[in-house]
Amino acid sequence: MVATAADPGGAIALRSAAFRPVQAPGRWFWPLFAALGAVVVLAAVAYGYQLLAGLWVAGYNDAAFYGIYEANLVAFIGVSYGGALVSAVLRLTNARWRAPITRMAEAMALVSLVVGGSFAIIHLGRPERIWQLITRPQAASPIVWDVIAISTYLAATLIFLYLPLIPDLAIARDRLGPSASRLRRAFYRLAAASWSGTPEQRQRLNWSVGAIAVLIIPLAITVHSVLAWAFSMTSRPGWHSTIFGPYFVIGALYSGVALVIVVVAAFRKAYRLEPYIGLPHFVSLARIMAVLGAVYLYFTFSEMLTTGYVRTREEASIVAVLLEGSFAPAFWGFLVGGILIPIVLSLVPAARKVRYLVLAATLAVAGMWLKRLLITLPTATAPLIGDVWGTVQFTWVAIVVTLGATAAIPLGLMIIFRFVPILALDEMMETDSRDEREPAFERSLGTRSPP
Amino acid sequence: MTVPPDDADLAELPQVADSARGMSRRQALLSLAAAGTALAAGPLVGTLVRASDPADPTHAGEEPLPPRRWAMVIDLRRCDGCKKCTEACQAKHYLPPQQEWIKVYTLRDRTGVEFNIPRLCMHCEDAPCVRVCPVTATFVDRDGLVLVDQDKCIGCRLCMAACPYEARYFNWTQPKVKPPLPTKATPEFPSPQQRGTVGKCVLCVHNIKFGQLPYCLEACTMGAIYIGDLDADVATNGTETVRLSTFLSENNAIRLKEELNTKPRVWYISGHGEDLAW
Amino acid sequence: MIRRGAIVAFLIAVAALQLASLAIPGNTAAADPPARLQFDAEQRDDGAWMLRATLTRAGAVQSQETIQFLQQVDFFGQRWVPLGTAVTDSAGVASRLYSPTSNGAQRLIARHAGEEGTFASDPLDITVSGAAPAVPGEPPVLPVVRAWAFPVGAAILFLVWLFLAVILLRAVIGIARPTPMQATSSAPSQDAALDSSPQRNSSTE
Repeated sequence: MVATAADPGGAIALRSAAFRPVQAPGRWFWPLFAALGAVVVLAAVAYGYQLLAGLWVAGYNDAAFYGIYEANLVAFIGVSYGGALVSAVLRLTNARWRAPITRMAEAMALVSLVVGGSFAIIHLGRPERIWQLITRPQAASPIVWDVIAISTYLAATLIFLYLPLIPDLAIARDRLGPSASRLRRAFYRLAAASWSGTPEQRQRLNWSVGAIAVLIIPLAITVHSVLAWAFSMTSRPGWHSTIFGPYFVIGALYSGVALVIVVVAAFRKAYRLEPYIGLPHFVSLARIMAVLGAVYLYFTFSEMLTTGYVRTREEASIVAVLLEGSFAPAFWGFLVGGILIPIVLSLVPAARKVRYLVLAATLAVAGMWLKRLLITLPTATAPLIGDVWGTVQFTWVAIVVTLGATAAIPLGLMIIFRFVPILALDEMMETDSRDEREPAFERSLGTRSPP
Repeated sequence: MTVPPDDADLAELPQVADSARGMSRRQALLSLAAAGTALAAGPLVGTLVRASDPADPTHAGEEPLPPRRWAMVIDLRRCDGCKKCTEACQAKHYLPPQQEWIKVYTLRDRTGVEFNIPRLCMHCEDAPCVRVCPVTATFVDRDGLVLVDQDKCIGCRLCMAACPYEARYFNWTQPKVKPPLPTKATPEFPSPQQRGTVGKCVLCVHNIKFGQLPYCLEACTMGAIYIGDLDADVATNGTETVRLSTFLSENNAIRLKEELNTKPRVWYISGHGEDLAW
Repeated sequence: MIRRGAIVAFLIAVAALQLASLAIPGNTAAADPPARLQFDAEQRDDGAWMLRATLTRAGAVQSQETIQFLQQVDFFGQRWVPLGTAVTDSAGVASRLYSPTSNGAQRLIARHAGEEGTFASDPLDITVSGAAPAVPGEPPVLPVVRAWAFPVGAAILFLVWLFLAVILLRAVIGIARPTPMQATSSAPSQDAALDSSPQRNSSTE
C-alpha cells in the first residue's frame, strides 16, 4: 500500500482508490456509459426484429443451422472462467498477489456469464417457450444439463462474489453512510450483514469463502464441459470428439485470463489504480495465460493430428477445410495471432511492458472468439450426404447483437463498480498485514512496486 | 429375380370360396386380354378402387388401424431422379420450396456412375434426435415413428445437429400457406408449420394409420418406393407386393450409415449391386 | 387394316368386362371340363409348413404345371404376398416349404396360370405360432447405465445445491448473529479495525 506522512498505513489512500468508481468516477464515465448503452439498446432492437421476422435474419439456413450465436454462447461463457481462475484457484494456491484484481475478476466472471447465458436464449427459435425446460425436461438432453450447470454455476459465482464483499460493504456502510442516499445506505447495511471484523466473523467468512472456492472449480469445469458435450454428443464430424470437454475448458481458461488482463488494465487506467496494480500482476497473469495457451495449442494439434492422419471421409473434409481450404485463413490467423503471438509476447523479456501484455491478451480474446466460430461453422455447413457445403451470411442483426454483448460486459462492470469497491479492500489489508510477518521472498510477489 | 405378380393381376382372385372354380373358354380369352390391359392400366384401376384424399388429412374422429412396425424400401434401380415424390410431398404438406422432407440427391458413386437417391426421415428405432431434445418436443409415437410437436419445440436445433442424415428442416421464417387450411396442425400433420420450429418427414403417418399410402409412394411413377411392415413381413409399392425379408435379402438391401447404430427403418436397394458409397 | 377406333373400343369393352368381373362372386356354368386346384398345408415338427397343391383337370392330375403360393394380407387394401412357386409332379402335386416369419392367423392361397386362364384354390386359414421374426428388433444398449444415470446425477446435483445453500447460510447467519464475546463492548470502530495493528503504521514504501 502507498504510505504518506498523513496516511502512514496507506489505508486511507487505498480506501479512496477502491471507492473512486463509487464516489468520483471521472468525466469520461457518463459519455462512455451512454455510448455503450446505445450499442446495447441497438442490439436489443435487432433482437426484437429477429423475434418478429424469424431466425433467418441472423444469417441462418438449413445448411448452416448453427453459427455466430452458438459461437458467442461458448465464447462469452468461456471468458467468465478468468474470474474462477483468478479468484478461486489463485486463492487456493495462496497467491497473495491476486488481492487487488480479484474483485474485478469476479465481477467480470458474473457479467460475462450472464451475457453469455443470454445467447442460449437468443439462438432459440421460440424463446418464449423456455419455461418448458422446467415443466417437461428430458434428462438425457445436453441442453438440459447445460441449463442446470449454468444456473448452478451462476448461483455459486454470485455467492463467491458476495461473500468476500461483505467486509468491503461494511466499510462502505460505515464510510459512505452519511454522504450516500437512503437507498444506498439501506443496501449497504443489509448486505454487510452486521459485519464488524470480529475474529469469529472472520473465521466464519474464511471458511465459507474457502469452501465455495473449492466447490466452484469443479462446477466451472462442469459448465464448460457440458457446453462442449452439447456439440460432441452428436455424430457430426468435427464435433464428435472425445477431447471436447477438456478442450473447451482450457480454451475458456485461456480466454478468461486474457480478458482479466484486459479488464484490469482498462479499469486500472480509468480509475487511476496504478499504485496498487503493477507490472508484476500483468506479468504473472500473462505467464498463466501463456501456459494455458500452450495447452490449448497442444489440444488443437492433437485434434488435427488424429483426425487428419486417419482421414475417414467426413472427418478429413473438416480438417482439409480448416487447414487448407476455405476456413484456412481464419484458422491460421487464429493460430498465429491468437495463440503464438500472445505466448511469445507473454514470455519474452523485451515485451515485459503493460501495453504489450494487454496487446497479447486482446489478441488472445479475439483469437479465441474466432476459434469458437471455427468450431461451429465448418461442421454446421459440412454436408452429411453428397458434397454440397452450406453457406453462412453474417447479417447486420447477428453482428449488432454480438457487438451489443461485447459492449454489455464493460457496461455491466461500470454499473457494478458504482455500488461496490473496485478493490478487495479487506482482502488487501489482510494480505498486507500478513505480508509484514512473512519472509522477504514472499513479499517479492506482492503489490509494492509501482509500474 | 422373379417379378412379383401385379396386385391388380391378382384382383380377379375369388373373394368367396367356390370349389368348382373355372372359366369358360370365351371368358378365359377375354380375361387373358383383360389381364394384359390390366397390367398396363393396373395402377389406374388400383387408384379407382382406393378412396380419394379425404377433406381432412388429419382424419379427425376416425379410428386408426392397429400399429405396425413400419419400414420403407427404396429401389434405386428404378429411381430416375424425377423428384415427383418431392413435389407431391411439398404440395400436400404445404411446404416452402427449400424444405424437402424427401430430398432426391444426385450423387456419383465410386465407379464414377451417377445415381439418384431419395432421402427421407429414417424414423430410426434408436433415434439420436429424440435423445437430445431438451423439452421432448420430438417423440416416438404409437407406431414407432419419430414426430415433432411444433407446439412444444423451442427451436434449439440440437436435433438437427444430431441427425446423421440431415433429414430435419427448420422454419427460419413464418411459412405462408394459401389458402388457409381448414384443419389445425397436429404432430401427425404439422401444416401449417410454426415459425422457429423443426419440421421433417412424418412418413405420412396421417395417411398410413388409416390405410392410405404415403404421398411420395403414390407419386412415384417408377414404383421405386415401397412401404412395409417388419412384423407382418410384407411390403408394397402400391401395385406390387413382396415378402419384405426376402425382398431385402435377395436384393442386398442396405441402410445408410449402418455403423452409427441408429437402426433406421429405410432400406436401399442399390442400382449396381454394390455398396452405396459416394 | 384394323382401325384405331376399333382397337380402342375393344380395349374399353375389355376393361369394362374386367371391372364387371370383379363384382361377380361366382362363375357361370362352364361348358369345358372344370380344372380344380386343391390346396392344403401341414405343419411340421420344426414349425415350418408344408404347402401342397393338387391340380386336376376333369379328374385327371396335371403334371409339370407351375403353381404359385400366396399369402393374403390386408395391407393398404387387399394384397397377396408371393410365397414362392412349385411345379406339379407326376401325381399332380406341387409342394413347397413355407417358413412363416410372423405369428397369428394367416390366409394362404394357391394359384395357377394356365392356358385356360388364371384360377385359384380355396383360401386356407392357418394359425402360426412360434415363428422367428425375419428382421428382429434389437434391445437398447447399456441398460444398466441408463437405469442408474438419472438417479446418480440427480443425487449429485442435490448434494451440490445443498452444499451451496449451507455455505451461504452458514456465512451470512454466522456473520450477522452477534457473538457472545462482542456483547460486552460495542463493535470496534472501523478505524480501529483498519489502522489499529501496530505493524501497519511502520510500513514503508
